[in-house]
Amino acid sequence: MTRPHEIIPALLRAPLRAPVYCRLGVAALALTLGACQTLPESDPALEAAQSAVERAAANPEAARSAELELQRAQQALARAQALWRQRDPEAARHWAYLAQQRAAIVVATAQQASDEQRLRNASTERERVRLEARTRDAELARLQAQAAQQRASAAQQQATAAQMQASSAQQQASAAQRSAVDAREQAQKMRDEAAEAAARNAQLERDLQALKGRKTERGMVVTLGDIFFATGSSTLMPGALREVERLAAVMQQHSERRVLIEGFTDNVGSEESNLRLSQRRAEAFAQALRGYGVAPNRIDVQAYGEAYPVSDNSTAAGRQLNRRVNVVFSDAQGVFAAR
Amino acid sequence: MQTTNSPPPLSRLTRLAGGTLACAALMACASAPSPAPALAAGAASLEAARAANAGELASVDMNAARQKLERARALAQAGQPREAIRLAEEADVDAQLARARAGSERARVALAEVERGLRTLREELARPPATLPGRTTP
Repeated sequence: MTRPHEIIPALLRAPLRAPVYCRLGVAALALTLGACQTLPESDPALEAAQSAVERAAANPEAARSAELELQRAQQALARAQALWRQRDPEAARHWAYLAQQRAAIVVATAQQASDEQRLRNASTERERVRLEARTRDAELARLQAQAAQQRASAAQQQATAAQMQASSAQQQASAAQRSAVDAREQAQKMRDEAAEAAARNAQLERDLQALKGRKTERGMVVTLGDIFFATGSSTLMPGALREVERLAAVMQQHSERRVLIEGFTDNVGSEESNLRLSQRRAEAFAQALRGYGVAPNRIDVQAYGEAYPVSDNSTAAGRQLNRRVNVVFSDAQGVFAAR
Repeated sequence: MQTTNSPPPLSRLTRLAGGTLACAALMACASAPSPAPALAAGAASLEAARAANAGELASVDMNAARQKLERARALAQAGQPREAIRLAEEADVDAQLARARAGSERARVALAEVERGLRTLREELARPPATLPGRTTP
């Protein structure tokens, strides 16, 4: 507080803006006030108002958002102080109250402005965070979609692989089925062939019945006795030619067969001459077959002489049986069974 | 627009002089000023504060303003204009403070709400997401 006795030198030091008489008048008034002051220098209400106004003025936000209200508070405070100096405590306290309330209005207005600024900042920040959250959600969704696509792709690959396996298995099954069919057909063919061969064999058997053909382990065998040859000669008797003709006819019927002509004798005479005789007789027979149109390569000739007798050589009947020519029929493949 | 009936300089001077005289006469008998303007101003501020919902948000200041305005009216009725004017002026400033505090309180509540929302949002963002990519969601 400016004390009354300090006012005079202060006023005297002030720049000479106001006329001198005016300054002197104010000084005189101050002197008068100072001379007869009975009032205390200040008042709690005024001091409270002053500190409230000073606090409000120190608020940086107040100057920005409540400048007019701050000025009114300061004016009210100045008026309160002036009234106090004019010894009007009632009016001074009234204006001090107004100053204090206006200071409070300044503080509230400044607080509101500050809060509103923070509110704007927070709203902006909230939008930013929301955007961030949305961005993250979008990224998350994208990653999930990517993962799902990868799973779908893997599943499709598995499905394709499974399909390929199934296809392969089906091909294998199909091949196996074809093999089975082939095998069945083969078996059927073999059965048919076997049946055919059996039928052919049976037919040969029937065809050779007239020639007294016998069924042996080596196949069909027709035996021609020595009655068809002149004694000790290889010349065929006329009756033999009919037999030869019938044999040739059978061989025409069974073109797949070959014949082995085997010549045998009894044990009369040397072994060597018997061998030669059997050879000549077998060849004479073969010659006769060729004469009836049987191809030469279908005829084999084998001489055994007195080997493999079929009867006792000690009797005339036995020796007659041993003098013979065997016609052995091959199988359907032209192969003779080994003796 | 051109004014055709603008008063002549003499007439204007006469008016000025008359106004000055009227003022002087009023001043002369202004020993008891009227409390009516102060009461009206206080009532207007009170209404503005009420409109700003200060009755709820700054009820202490609002009550003070209301009571002071009532007393000011009573004093005006009782023929105490000076006291009536002071109380009306205090009611006026109390109502203005109530209005300012209501505005401040509204801003504070709004700020607190937005900051709470922001905090929740940040917490949600800080938490790991419920479904991680790669984890199978049937």
